[in-house]
Amino acid sequence: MSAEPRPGVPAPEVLVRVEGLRVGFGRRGARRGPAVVDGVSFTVEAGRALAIVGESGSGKSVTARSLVGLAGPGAWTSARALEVGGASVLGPVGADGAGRGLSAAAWRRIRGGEVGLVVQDALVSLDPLRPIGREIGDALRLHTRLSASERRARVLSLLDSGGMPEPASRLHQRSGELSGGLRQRALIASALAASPRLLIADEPTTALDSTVQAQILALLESVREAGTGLLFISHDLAVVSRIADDVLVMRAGRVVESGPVAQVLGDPQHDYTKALLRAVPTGVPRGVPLAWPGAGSGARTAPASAPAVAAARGASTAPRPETAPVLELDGVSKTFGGRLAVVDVTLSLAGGSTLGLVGESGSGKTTLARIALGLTPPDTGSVRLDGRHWAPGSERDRRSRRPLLGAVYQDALSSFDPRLTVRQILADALRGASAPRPLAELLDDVGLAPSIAEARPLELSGGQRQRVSIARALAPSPRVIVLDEPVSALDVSIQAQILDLLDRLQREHGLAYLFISHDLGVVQHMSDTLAVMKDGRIVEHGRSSAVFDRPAHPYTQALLAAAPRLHP
Amino acid sequence: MRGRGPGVSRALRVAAALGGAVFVLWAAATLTFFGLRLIPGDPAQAVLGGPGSQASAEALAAVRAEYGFDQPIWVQYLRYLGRLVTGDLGTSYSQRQSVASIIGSQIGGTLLLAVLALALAWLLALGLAVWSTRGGRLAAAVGSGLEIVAAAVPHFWLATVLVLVFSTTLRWFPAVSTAGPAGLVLPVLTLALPLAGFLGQVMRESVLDALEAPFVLSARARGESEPGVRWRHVLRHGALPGIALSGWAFGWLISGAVVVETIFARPGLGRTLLNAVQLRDVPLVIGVVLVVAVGYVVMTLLTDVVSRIADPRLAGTGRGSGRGRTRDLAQVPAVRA
Repeated sequence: MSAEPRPGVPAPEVLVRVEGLRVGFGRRGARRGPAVVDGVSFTVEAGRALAIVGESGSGKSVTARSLVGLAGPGAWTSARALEVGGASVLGPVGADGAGRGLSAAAWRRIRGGEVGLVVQDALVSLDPLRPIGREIGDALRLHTRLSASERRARVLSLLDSGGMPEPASRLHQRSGELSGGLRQRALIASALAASPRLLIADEPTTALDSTVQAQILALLESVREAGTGLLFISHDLAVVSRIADDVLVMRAGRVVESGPVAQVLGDPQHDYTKALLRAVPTGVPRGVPLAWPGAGSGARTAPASAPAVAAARGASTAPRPETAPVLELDGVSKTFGGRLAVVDVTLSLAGGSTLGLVGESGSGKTTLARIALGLTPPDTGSVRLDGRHWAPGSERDRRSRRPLLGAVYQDALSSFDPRLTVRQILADALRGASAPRPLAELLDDVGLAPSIAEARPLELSGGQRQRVSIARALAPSPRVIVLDEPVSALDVSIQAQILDLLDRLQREHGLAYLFISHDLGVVQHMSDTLAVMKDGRIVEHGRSSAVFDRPAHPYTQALLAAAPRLHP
Repeated sequence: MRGRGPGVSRALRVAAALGGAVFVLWAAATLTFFGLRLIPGDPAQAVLGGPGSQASAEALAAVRAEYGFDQPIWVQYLRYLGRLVTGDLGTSYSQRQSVASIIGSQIGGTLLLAVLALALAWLLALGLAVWSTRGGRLAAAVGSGLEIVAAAVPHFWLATVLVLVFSTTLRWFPAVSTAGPAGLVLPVLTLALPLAGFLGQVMRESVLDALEAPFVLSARARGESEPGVRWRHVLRHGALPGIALSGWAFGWLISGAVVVETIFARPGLGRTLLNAVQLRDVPLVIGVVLVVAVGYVVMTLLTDVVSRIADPRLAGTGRGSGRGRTRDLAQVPAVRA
């Protein structure tokens, strides 16, 4: 990586040198599997951060893990050079050119000692049965000769410098007793415990709320400031633009573009990088397509019949005329065993428009969605659908109007019966329609090929599943669709396709959306009006543009400040 | 539920557990009491030396009056229940001594057998689970095959084979139980092997789950060695379903003890129970059943407590409790009881 030398600083120490790395899975020799990482080269220097950017399956995690010999079971590795701390970790190289890897003992000295790895999935990456003090102390037990009491003191100082409040009382807590942000802090502390020169952080902020995400990024920045090298893996370009010095864009196992972050993100040369950047919804006005028809990755299911995709940027961004409200919540409250989940919420959703609902986990967004859907009865207040009373009340009264209201959830897979084919799933949903549309037309509407009808949910990609779940919501010709984090589990380019699809469907069918997300960029792109939720209350509510331009409530201001933005 | 204080919910839990235990004991006593009435024959005959005895009609009438057999059955039942509540298990018809003293003299051998078998089954199951997940497909196939065969083998057949091999052929251990530790080997093996098969199947599943969990990758990334990963992380996760199953296993062991004690001619509750049923010795049968039920209830409570200690997610505090519970529930279908 071409690192510009900083004035007054001696040439930085190279912690990792990778040249022509290839990694694959399967048996060595004739039956060797194809390379999932192919010809990747980079260096990481002390005190600098290199980000590897790419979508799921691009090989970024495998690349990083092969530095510590943990690419996965059955992995083979070959490279012109693979050096950690100046020494090769390829081990004896076999006749087929693949490194046999270091001995188990040699790897163990590197793991945790020279390279700390913060693995993906912070929420489940600490042993739920062991106190975090032990988990962090393990790294010290394995790499230092400290006594038990010295280890304890060091763990305390690690937690303290990692921004963990009341570290002494946290030592004995298990990860299940900690919030997501605190678990990530503990995990980072355990990776840093034995003072490795390099820290690999694999999607360290992905499952976290934006304010917590900002804190974790600040922590990682301070680690880098202290002279530790940082290898940062992410699919989130906004996060990368904040923390990285250099960036490596990977696609399908290969590097498509690399260089200093300002250059790569500010003036991208490769189409894929451009597509990734364009797919970021933050700040893109409503109605402007995000997906680049030529750059869909993997499953190419760009809607063929979509006029919106054909429309050039800047098309049809004029605000739609206000119509009568189709969904109204009036003074709705809900308490779960003494815990206030939703407090006195009054919202109204105009026909054909999008109401964005934003808030962090536990703020009551999903409870509010369930109340709107008539699945959870509110303690007080009422819900009106299409001008008539909807909830609370008996399900029998609602049943005839159920087709008016659809729902799409984050985890499409678990919302399907895995034994049913797409045809059966949609036929089920079409049964509720007053005038059922042909299945093929419905599939075409969500940009799916007719051939997909015979597939089962498990055989579909994440984007296809979400399209099926949108088709299911669309089948009874609803007026309102409640979308609960519909794109949170998707890669940015797939997310862009789904957001474009939702936008087109809204125009064509005059749908109203209650769009729930923790991602401010997504909500900003999708919403006409916006409601910010905190601790069950709506703290700010108004036209989306007004809220984003001039946030009035301190919490909204904090949220906006914490949201990572692309600033190359 | 979460809104109540932890103290309240704990008190409720304890009360529910105690209520459940009392219900189980009452149900066991009642079912046994009426079940034994269904066996044809005269209970007075049983008191006077069993079906083969030549008791006179006067003697039978005297016994009926003495034991209350001439009363309506619900009177007999309520009287019996009344005595039970005061802790009086009654007098054995066939042995003419108090049921409590008979059980007292027999319980030690059975408990020793059950505890040793449970411990051995645990060792075998955990060892097999950890060994068979070391990697190779062969080890996995061998491990799972052994478990299935062991779990499917009936006690009487296994006992016969063990006797044939180790006693008749090799002459290592006695076929008939003797007082020394050598006499315990074959009975304990007979009870432990099938149980180890059951436990092993469940434990291996959770060991495999744990080995693929992200926290194990974290541990490896920290520099933990393979034995360290297994000892510090995987073993405990693997043991959790085994702990949950141990309460059930105890009951299963006692029923196995009936067969095993009979085959190896070992004194104990199992054999006492078998003899008592054959002689229609109602007080003794109910006494043994109640003692076993108490043992079962105590073991179930004990495994509950141990489960909560081993898996803090079950303790009902903190955010992880929900996940712990669903995981626990998800494991229920795996129990092939």
